[in-house]
Amino acid sequence: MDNKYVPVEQFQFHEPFENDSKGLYFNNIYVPEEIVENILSHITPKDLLGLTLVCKKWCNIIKSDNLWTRIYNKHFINKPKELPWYVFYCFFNTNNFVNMLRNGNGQENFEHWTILKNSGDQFTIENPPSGCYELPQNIADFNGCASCFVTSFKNCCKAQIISLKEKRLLGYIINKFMPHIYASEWVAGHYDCIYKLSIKGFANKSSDCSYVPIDDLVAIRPFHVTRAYVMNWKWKKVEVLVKEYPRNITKLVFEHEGSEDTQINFCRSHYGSKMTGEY
Amino acid sequence: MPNIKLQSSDGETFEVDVEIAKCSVTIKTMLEDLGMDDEEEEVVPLPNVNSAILRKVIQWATYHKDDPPPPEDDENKEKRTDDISSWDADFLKVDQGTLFELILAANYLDIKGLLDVTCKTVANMIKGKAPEEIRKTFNIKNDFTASKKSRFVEENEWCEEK
Repeated sequence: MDNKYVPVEQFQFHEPFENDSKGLYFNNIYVPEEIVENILSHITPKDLLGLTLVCKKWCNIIKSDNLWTRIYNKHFINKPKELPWYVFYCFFNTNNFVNMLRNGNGQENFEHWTILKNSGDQFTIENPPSGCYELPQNIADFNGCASCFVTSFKNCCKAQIISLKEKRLLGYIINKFMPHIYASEWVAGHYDCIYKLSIKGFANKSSDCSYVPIDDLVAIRPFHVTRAYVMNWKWKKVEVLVKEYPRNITKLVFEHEGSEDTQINFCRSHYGSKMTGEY
Repeated sequence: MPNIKLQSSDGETFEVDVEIAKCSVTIKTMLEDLGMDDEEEEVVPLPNVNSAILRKVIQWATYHKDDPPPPEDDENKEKRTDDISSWDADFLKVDQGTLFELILAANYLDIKGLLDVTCKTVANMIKGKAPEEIRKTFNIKNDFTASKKSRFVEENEWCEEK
């Protein structure tokens, strides 16, 4: 199954075809390249790759930075950075590199999460959250969800693993451009309690094993960034930015934990988190 | 309201309200450069547009003369390809030759609204079609060799996100 695809480290894009004007004729009417770009810019980005097979000229146009600059400017006012076409293609097909995390509010129960510690009364999901201030209104991060994960009076920890194995192009881009990795979530607690958010990366060697928690993987865990905070009733957005990390990351792990602290009941974590590659 | 005369490539002259003619940035610039604002009897030659197409362009511009200027794009705003008004959709029910002539005329005359709506119409003809159907629709020659093609199919599959 894996052998079907060239490994990310070895993959190379083909060169553009030599320039000829064939393929700019639509039923024998010559149409300048910029008009073909205009036409193609109205196609859903995801469908464009398939159209590279129409002819060489279309292939060149679709795999060109011009077309993608045009598409980008249909959605955003600011001028795009000078990046190759496939970065834009990936950008539009991964929800703008945002929200790699799924089920951030517990709207799908514990789907996509791996529970690592579940002490005390265990993780639950509350909708709406109780025992703390109301959720701030109109926060885009929540995607309209009002539910949240709740840890118990003892240590609870869970993680979401984002495998880049299936996301070849994204892996290629991460390798090549080393974008910053950003994660955030909204947290509140019942009483003062300690909350930890970690972003971890796993490299090639560990790519076959399923999630191996905590410390026994230090050797093959190329980076690990943890932030700890003391939380109270008030909702707070915590953020982590990873700026430097080694190449060939195959998995990213978003791990968060609420731990007891003397008289604490529970820490409430996770409202719409997102992980994004920023350029 | 002052009028202006536009002459098509095949010599036909059309008298048009200046304000309507000015939706073409090309004509607007021409008028400003030549200082023809007040002179009524000037004829603007348009050597790249024939009378049949020019007639259509004027029809479009007349209908859209009171349109507000295109709004500045909001950030994050998704534009949709199928947002063609029903009037435009009817107006563009023409054969492919005419459609592409209109695109070229809109491009030459620099009428953004007409260019966008015509390009969108062509994009809608492309949507959902396999490469082979697209080639057939627009009479485009397939210049890939079989081996090149399979190399491309592989590359595309590689790039596709799960």
